[in-house]
Amino acid sequence: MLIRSLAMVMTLMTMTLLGCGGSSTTSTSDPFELQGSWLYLGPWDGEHTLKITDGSMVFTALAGEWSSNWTIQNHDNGVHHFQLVFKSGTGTYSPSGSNFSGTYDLNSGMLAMQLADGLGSYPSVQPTCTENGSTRIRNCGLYMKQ
Amino acid sequence: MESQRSRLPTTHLVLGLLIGGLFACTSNDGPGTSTTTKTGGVVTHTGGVTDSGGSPNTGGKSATGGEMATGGNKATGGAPATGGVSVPADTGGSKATGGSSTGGISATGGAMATGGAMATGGAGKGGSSPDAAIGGTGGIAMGTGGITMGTGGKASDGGVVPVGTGGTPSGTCQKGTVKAKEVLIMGESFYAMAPQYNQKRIEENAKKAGAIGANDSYRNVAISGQPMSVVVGEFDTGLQGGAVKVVIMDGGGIDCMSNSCDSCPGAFKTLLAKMATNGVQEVIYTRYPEPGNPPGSNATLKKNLDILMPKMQPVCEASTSPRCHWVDLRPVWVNGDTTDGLHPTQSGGDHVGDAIWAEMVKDCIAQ
Repeated sequence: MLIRSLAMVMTLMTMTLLGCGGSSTTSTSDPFELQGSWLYLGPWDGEHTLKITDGSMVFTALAGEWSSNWTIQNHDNGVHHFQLVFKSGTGTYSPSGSNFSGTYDLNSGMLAMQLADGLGSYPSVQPTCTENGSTRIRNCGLYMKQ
Repeated sequence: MESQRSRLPTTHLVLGLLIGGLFACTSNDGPGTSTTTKTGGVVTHTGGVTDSGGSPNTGGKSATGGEMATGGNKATGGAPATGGVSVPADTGGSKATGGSSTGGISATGGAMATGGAMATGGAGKGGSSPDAAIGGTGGIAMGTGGITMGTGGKASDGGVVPVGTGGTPSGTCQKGTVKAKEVLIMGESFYAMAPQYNQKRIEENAKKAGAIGANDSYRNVAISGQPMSVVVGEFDTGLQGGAVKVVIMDGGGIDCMSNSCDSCPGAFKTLLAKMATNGVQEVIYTRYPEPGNPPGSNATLKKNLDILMPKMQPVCEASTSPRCHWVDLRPVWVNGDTTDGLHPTQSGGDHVGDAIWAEMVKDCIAQ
């Protein structure tokens, strides 16, 4: 009886964890689908490029006055999540923080990326980085594939 | 009993683990949604003058003098058309000496007087006005009238004469009827991205012409990266800041990064109708420069723009209330005008701003 109960507990635990749906460990081995070079389009000021490799994101101002380098701690192409940990930066770089959880929307070469402070919960993302008509959403960026 | 006692802890353990597991799940619903509204720099503006340009050029008649020119004599009448243009001589003729223009953007006039077709320069109002270009347009009208060069000659007279003679007599372009804050710039990053070179250049031209005050600025509600569906909504934001009489805008370019936006022409038409009901008198829609660096090298975006823009243009040109002016920026965009293939450099902004201002002068918009 006890063995059967324990087996049931293990099964339920496994099912519960799988139900979280955001576990990145299962898909980190897949190449990050955002790899490549991106040009920032808005909605905020600060023209820059974003270069994404399988393990890092580098934001560089178009005029070169700042840059920041982040380690992609994990990613999940399935649910469009990733996590960033700060590696290095120069100038008044962006984004500003030590680590982020990110959610993205990818549509025909257009990328909308929403960041949230910390490695806790993932934010939702609006494909236009605006809401209520034309209110810009903080920590949201739009990019075009280069 | 014994077996019940052993089952209870197990059941509790199961429930506890389930609840704990659920709490361990992360939420996707918590956006960092601190939002900010973009207001755009609003500045009052005193200046502005309007012009009613465009009325038929009476000068045509005065161009009768054309006969004189036929002989190929110089058009003496051509006192310095300050604003203006050199007056065309005419087919037979030589250029009207008087025609040289001081302020004239385009002293094209004289040259074109061939056959009396377009003596663009001639009629121009002349020079006192900083808007020499206006004079030029006047000339066109006159030129047409005159078979002969004569028109040209008279045209040069026009230079002396106050604008009135021109096809778009500057005299009829009322200035000061539109305030700077009543000019709204909307669209996406082409106008929104700082530093806003396009806007700065238009304002520089407007200040030089006395259309706005030294500390005035247009209102800019453009938001970078936005599709047409959001650009349309920017007009509402603009209205919240006060009356809008003139709109300078683009839209649809972001959509074209992924497709040719079938919905954009309809959205534009709806927007124009909404503008009409809210008192907008003039709209300048700018067609994007060729995308990429060098211009035209972004093949995908170019392809989609080349499909969409020919559908947007007739929507614009069909609108009479507000009057919609289509300004194609492709011809003014050259190497060096962009570094990222989309947004203007200083030189790009200068070229764009000058093209838009020329349209504003020509059609007496927010003068």
